[in-house]
Amino acid sequence: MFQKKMKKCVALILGTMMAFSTLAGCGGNGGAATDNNAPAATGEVSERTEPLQVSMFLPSRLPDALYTKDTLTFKVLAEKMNMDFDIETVVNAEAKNKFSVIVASGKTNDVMAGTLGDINKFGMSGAFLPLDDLIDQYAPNLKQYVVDNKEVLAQTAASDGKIYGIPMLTAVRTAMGYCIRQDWLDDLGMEAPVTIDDWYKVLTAFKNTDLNGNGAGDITPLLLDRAWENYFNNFADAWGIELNGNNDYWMVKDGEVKFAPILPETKEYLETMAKWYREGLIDQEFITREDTNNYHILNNKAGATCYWTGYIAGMNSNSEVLALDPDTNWQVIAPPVLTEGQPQKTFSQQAAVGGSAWAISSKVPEDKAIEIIKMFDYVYSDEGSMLFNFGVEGESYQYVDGVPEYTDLVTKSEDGLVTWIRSNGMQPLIGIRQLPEYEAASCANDDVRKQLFDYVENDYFYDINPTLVLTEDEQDKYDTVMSAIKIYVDEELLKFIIGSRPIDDFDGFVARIQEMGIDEAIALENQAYARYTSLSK
Amino acid sequence: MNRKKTFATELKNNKYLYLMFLPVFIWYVLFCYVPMGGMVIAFQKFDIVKGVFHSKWLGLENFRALFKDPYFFRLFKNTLFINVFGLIFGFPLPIILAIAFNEIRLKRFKKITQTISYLPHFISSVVVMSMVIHFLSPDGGLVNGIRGLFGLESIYFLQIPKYFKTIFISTGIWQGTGFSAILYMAALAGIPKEQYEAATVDGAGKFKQMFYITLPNLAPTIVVMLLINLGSILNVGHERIILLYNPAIYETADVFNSYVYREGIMGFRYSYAQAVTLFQNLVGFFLVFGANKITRKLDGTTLW
Repeated sequence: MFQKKMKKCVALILGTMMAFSTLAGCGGNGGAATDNNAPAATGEVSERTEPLQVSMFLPSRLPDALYTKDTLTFKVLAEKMNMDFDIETVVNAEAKNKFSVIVASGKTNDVMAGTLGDINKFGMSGAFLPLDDLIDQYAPNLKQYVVDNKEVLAQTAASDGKIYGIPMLTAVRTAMGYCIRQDWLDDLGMEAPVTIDDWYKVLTAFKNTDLNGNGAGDITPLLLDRAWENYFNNFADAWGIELNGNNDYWMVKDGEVKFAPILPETKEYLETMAKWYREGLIDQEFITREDTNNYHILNNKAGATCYWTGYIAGMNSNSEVLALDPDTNWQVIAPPVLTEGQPQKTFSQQAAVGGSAWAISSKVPEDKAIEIIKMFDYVYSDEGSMLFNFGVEGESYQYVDGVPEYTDLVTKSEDGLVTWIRSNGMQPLIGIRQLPEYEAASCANDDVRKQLFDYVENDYFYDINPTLVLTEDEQDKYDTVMSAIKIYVDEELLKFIIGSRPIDDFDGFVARIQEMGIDEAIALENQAYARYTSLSK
Repeated sequence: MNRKKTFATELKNNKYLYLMFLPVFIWYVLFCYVPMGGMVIAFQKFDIVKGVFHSKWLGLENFRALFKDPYFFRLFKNTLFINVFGLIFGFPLPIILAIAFNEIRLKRFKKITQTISYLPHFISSVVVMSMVIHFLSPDGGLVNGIRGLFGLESIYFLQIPKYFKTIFISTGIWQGTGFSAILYMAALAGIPKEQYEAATVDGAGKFKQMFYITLPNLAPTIVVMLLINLGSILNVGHERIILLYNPAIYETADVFNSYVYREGIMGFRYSYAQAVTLFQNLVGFFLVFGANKITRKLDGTTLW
């Protein structure tokens, strides 16, 4: 009796839902239906009398400039593709949450932009279309840049080997660089530090000399950023290891994946950091201080840091900084080493594939999916890339001696270049190709440009430690052992550095990690790494 | 005459009362009882695309994982300690404050001090916690500044595990005492003046009045509040914790809710997070249930 009623209820609800969705379908897809039996030539926009309705979910870059269909780049794109966009958006900080809410509700937009990791995860559960065949048939640009570039493919594909999201490709490998107050080095008559011992001498001199006129001891010789970006172990570069909590501390060494915290190099590294911390060379509050770089640099209190190179270089022309010390001169220097003559390299770098991507909902019918993949392909084309990096020629940029440059409209805009670019829909967090020309053109001046490209030109990079993708089963096993180990390592690394756990206890630390089952996680990571290398061959 | 009132006649007799109750009833069903169905994901390997109805059934696997979790005991201990000490130090204070306010005869002074005492409740936790961080900073913080005046070395409070509970609980007391006192003030206002007058005639002083009139009259409210607090003995709001803690002091600061936030929500392990939450609430439920039975036997004050 109850069951019968229940069935009736469900039927009624389903019926109503179907009625609504067909209604919606009639309104939107009228145009697309006419040409579904004659697919247009590859890469070209099919002829439609009416624009095709495409709904999208996109994260916006800025809270006070949320994207609409009238945002410059999306407006141009829609006209070009003869589409009509229906854009749903939230500011990027809230996007991850909103994304999973939309996927969970089942009412996905035709196009969904989010992190590549989420897209692959939900794609394998059936929320998004696998794009491999579509790319092969309809998208020459995507094929060239994603499928044929093995490095990109290996970083893009999900653990089942399929492509679900079209990723953002980064242009410049530079990420965080070692930056130092060159003017203070000059005041001290010291050379830029090369080895860890040099660094120790320089930082000690920063601490003991009154360089900023506020009395000796006012300067924080070295900033570490834990609270904001959680990259505070950069100096492990000198020992040839990467201790990156954001990647669960995995690294590739001698052809296999290793868990960096239990390597003997980690002990030496921690010993050095503990000494620096004890002697006041490192910010005593680095664990809790948020936005430490701005706080120290804007107050003329920072001697050295390892942070986004372009950002720190830009401080040389920051009016607040110059007001306190007009001679301020931040310069990026080569990564530290243990003994002179060793290759100077850092693990901090941008992967070829950025974290953002967009995907097509699995609910989209095939003919519409074809149109959308063509749209994705256009965004990857040279023309589309110029649109999403520079905007509209003659309006926001022009060529000067064959090099694109932003016009005064952008560079002299009230809120500055970056804000203008972001509020007009350039550099959106979707599957675009960032152009190196964009990075160069958006630098404030030649000095910033030189510093930003310094690590690239000198090739100061170790091979990247990839973020490996696990299958669902592997992930379950991994989570069971790793979540506890991750917490333990997060805690103990900090304790070693601040000295609340003596470094002599390092063997106990390693033993505890092994007890917690790290070997199982290492095996899983190596399986995933085997898949990764087979894709990238 | 039918002595047994049927539900229908009851409904008919008090139809306006029930009509007024209806929105609350609907709200409870929609937002409290229907979502309870979602608790079922604690027994599943929940997949957000497949949804509640098609995710894989795991039975008690998530609970097994929870009890085997190397951090289970630490989380349990921290959560319990923060709440127990919070109750010991935090629970009597609003009562004392309310009684103290009640004794103030100067109306204006009473109103002003009362307002000041409950204002902190309206400051966002984010603001309060960043105030705490700044006050306790070794570099120019208020507390270490005062220590410096006495020639004491500055202490980096938020980096040393043993200080966390004290900092957290006292912040909670500062923020909540004034507001919690309002409830007791209301109860105090309900005590008939005649009792005090009679006591004065009998020659009872202020303290005698407090012990023999005020406190017995407050007892039911106190018991009910205590019972409600027991229900959340394994709950510490995660917002205030995550604003204040850092990995160096997880040892004393990490509680179930912050762990669920970090591992469950940020790490997409929804089922595991739900299993932890269900466990917390079951413990809370049985505590309230048991305590309710005890108080019923003792003096008849109960929640239901």
